[in-house]
Amino acid sequence: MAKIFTPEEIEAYYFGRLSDREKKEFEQQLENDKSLQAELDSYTKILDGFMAKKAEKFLQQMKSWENHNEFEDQDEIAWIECYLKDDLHPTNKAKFETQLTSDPAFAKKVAQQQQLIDGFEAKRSQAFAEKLKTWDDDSKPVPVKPKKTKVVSLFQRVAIAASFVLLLGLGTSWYVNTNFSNTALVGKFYQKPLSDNTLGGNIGNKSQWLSNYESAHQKMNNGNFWNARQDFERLQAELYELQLDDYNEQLYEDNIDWNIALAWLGIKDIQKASNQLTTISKNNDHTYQEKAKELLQELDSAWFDIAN
Amino acid sequence: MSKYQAEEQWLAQLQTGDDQHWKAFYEEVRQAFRLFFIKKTSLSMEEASELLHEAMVVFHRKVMSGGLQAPLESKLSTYLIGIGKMLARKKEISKADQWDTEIPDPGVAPDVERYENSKANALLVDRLLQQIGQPCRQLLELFYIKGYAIDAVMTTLDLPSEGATRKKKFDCLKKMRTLI
Repeated sequence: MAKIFTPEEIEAYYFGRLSDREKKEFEQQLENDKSLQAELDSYTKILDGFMAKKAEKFLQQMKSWENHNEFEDQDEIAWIECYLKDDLHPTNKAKFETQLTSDPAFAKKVAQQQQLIDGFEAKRSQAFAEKLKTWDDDSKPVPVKPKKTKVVSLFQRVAIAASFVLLLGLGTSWYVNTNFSNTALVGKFYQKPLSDNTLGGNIGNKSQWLSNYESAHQKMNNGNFWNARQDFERLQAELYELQLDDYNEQLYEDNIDWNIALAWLGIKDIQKASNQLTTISKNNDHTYQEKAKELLQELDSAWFDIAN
Repeated sequence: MSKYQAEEQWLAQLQTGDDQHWKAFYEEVRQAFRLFFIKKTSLSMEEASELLHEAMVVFHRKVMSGGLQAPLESKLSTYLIGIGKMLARKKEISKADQWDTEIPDPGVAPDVERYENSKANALLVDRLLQQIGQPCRQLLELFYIKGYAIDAVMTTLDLPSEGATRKKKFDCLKKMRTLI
């Protein structure tokens, strides 16, 4: 018994949406079924008609997309370019040449476009020539480069020299001040007071003197050299009243001598500092003899003179 | 992996039927298509434009009916020029030219044939649509001409279900058929 196909199935056949098995079954029946043939024929007309109407709508849409001037310009440029490249079909080439002779405005556009193309061509050739030159240069053996003699004007030379001197001066000044100024030397040669253990055991009731001694050192550390020197001179005078043993007495006495010399140096009284140091350096029993000699050498150096 | 992945992505966009995608595709292929034909055939620029439109219609139908699917064997623009070639051959343009060997045959001969023959049927459908009444006309136009999906037709016409919409659509088609 013949199957009755629904309009849905006929439509699916028309649009090619049936599976291979369904399609085969449909076409087998179609061969002998006059009614199905008539039905398919009718639906095909209707569906073709709809497709044609849809195509018409799509055509209208495409025409609306065409409606802008940009396309006109593009078309003309493309048309001219094809001619200038000798790329047109002979029929179209003949049409183009007819337009060229009959339309001066069009002929002008063609000439302009030819000029542009020539310009680009020239640019391309120039770029290629430059590239060739680069390749040529690359393939040559690299010669030893003669040292370039740079011509420098007198003003430039003076300026360079001045800059050099200035830099040298600044650098030297920084170096000398850091290492050879009076305060730098005080810092370098200063030594902390002897510890309580060394000083204290035999001091007994002389704690006030010790306190003043420590206070004087504190002033040295704070850079208060003037007051420190006064304190040390006072302490020096009082030291003999303390009746310390020889060992401790010399320890304190030598340390005070040394700090008085440094204090003079700190307050930049170089002469008094030198006198003090010379005395110490000549005393073979003085704890700071070698240090004094060393410091005296520093004071005699040119760097010290520059720094001070 | 297909050689034409980017083209296949584009095809997927066109299959959605979105006008913006179709417009973008049209603008992309327009110049190349027409230049091909003014170089290779005696068609003028205007005639090449007409050929482009016809080729686009066949192509549109092929894509929207699901007749063109990935994996692709050529670029979409080459496929379109192939349709143009078949249409030009049908119109007996530049018979003596050997240009058409450069472009592969896209296998759309039945579509081209159908397109050529369908113009008379468009007039028939116009006549029948006037006879089936407003509700049927509206439904069929939405579905076949504007390309609405069943659910969109259902919503637009405020029908109760997709099934009811589908049934009404085939009832209307039947009605047209009986009028032939």
